[in-house]
Amino acid sequence: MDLNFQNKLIGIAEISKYYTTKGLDTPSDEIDVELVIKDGKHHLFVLHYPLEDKNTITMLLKNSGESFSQLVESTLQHFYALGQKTPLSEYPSPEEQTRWNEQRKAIIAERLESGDIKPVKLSGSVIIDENRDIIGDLL
Amino acid sequence: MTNTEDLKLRIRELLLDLKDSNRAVDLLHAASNDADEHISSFAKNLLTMYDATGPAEFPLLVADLIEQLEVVFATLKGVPTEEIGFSLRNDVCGTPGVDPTPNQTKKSFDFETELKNTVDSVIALFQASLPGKRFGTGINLEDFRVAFSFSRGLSYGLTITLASDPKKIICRQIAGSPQELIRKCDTFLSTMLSTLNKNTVKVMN
Repeated sequence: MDLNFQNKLIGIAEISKYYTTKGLDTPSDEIDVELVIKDGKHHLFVLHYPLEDKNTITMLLKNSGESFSQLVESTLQHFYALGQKTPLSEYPSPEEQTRWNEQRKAIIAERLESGDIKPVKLSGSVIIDENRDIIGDLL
Repeated sequence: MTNTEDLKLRIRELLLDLKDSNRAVDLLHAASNDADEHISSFAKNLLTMYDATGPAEFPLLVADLIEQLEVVFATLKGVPTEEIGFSLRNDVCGTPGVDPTPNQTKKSFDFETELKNTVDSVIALFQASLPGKRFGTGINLEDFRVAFSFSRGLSYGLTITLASDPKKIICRQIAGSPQELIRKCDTFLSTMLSTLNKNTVKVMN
């Protein structure tokens, strides 16, 4: 299916919510996709803001590339690939759900170790925070 | 030719009055009949924005505008208004005096293209407003930091700041949909353009 830019953003946010350290409790939390151009370079960040503690923000992915379009596409493919490693049927049995969760936790642990997932010191969305140069913390 | 310093002063005064007044509509109607065409055009644009946002949101919008205008105005010292307009026509619209998109109708909303065009236009506006920086020989995209944010809570934001001083915000808009975000940026741009040069707005439209 050929998704437009906006739907790709939604896709990234919807898939990445399953690959946070909070696991299955994540879906009600905030996931942001932040795109930044600095020094002519394009960067994309996927950030997880837990509802109960907005200061404990985790970066789920940092990606750099030539354009917003290319970044959004490659990030979506990255999360698609994670999803394919942990397939889940439409109506999973309790056993399948348990296995899926274990596989997913293993992937999260791997990504934490590699630094793909890491906590960041932000006090809000890069758009909303008016008092700090929070993008500087990410770049 | 309007003195840019006087114009800046009057626009700043108008915005500050609007921010602290509960008679914004009356003030805007009076200003839209001002003898200075820059002021009247600016006030008419603000009236349109007032109609679009409503009385509750309008003071917030004015506060945002004050912040954004201060950054641009800080760089405008000594630049004659008509020079700004000429430079804008080159940077934003290509050939001077030629509308690049005559009779063009949009078939669908392409968010990425719209976003790119908006960023280009805001940066071109700022580039053109810098004294001594003309025809693309001055500052470049590298001098800015552009941040676009998509939230799963379905809000969209665009912030453009100076790379050398990220707290200097050139443009910040937040909206509930991509279309609304682009529309808000367009309103911001046309307001800024009408402030700087009425003729430029004609070309842009």
